[in-house]
Amino acid sequence: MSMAPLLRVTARDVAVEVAGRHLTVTVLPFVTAAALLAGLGFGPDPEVLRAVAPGLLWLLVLFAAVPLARGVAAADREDGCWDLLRALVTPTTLLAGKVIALWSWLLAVWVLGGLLFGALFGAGQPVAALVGGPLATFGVAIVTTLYGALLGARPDGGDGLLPVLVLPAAVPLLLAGTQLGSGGAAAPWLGLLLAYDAVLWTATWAVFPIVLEE
Amino acid sequence: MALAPLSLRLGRSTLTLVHGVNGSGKTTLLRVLGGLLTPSSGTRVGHGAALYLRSGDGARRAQRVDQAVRFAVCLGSPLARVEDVVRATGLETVMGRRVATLSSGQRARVTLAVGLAVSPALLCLDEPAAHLDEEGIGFLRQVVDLLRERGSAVVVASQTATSGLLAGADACLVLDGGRLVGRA
Repeated sequence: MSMAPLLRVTARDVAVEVAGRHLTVTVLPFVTAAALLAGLGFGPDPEVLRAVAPGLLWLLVLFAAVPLARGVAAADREDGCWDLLRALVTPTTLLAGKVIALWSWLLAVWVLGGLLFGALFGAGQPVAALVGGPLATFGVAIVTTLYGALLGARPDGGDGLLPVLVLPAAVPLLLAGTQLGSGGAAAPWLGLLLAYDAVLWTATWAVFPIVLEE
Repeated sequence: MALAPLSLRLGRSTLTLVHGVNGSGKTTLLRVLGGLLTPSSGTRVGHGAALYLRSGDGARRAQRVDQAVRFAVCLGSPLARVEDVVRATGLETVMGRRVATLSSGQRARVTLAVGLAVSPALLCLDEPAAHLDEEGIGFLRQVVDLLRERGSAVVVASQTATSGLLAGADACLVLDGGRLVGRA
């Protein structure tokens, strides 16, 4: 797989996002509002807030992934660009380019959420969580890219059931991210993240050409 | 079945026109030729890249025109020059504008620019003249001529006869109800 087309696809998605500001106008305000509301909902006890912060952070990343999934294929299809992408790059390049673009948005969500929970709840991030965060967001990006491609392949609907079918694949990432954020044993959870990312990538890479077929 | 059995051979530097009313199977035929749809029976054998473009397709609304053309150049034919493509399609004055702010006719010209930028072995244009004015149709003719000079096979589908718009076609197919009812 050549790197240049992959980087072109990623750079194009980044440029479109910067111009369209979907992330900054929709997703980041959602994360901020959710963090503030969680603070109010779980009450003033700092111990409780610190205890729930890691799980809330990863729930926010997962919830933020659902609207971001539109950027994988549905937005391209609406603008008449999906066929162009399918013609110009291989399925593997398209998958990798989309995953990397999505990964960067999810990392932004994770960093913002972490900073908010740190500032509002006093919840710090252990070193292992800082290593596990990028790994877990990468896995979420793979799952979301598959979900987004399925969504784009079925513009007539089906988006109500798809998150229920696809997003449970992110549960191990949610668990590992939460455990690492809570200061649990690092090695097994980091190992799980590495292995699960590899499994997710391989499985998605294998089915992606079929997903792209009409 | 959207298309009845059909045998077609498209050589290098050829122009093929496909006519037919709504629902006659033009888009299905072009999407099969473009490699986007797999025929339920029979085979499609292609040499080189194929690209299907509907009028207005090929650029994200949030992209600037120059970004859309550069993306197509980089992935399609990296030796081409963005400026040459833009000039050949008359988009110089809107190069820095977002695609979302363009008129339908200008977006149709962006589609032509993307097709020219990629210069695939086979370019399938679906209703390329739908939103074009006289000047735009002149650019359509120019793009088709340039592509044929480069060895591309071009297939143009339209509801109405475009033989007057695109002279020198090597073949003209007429579809009705998914069947080939005329060939010239």
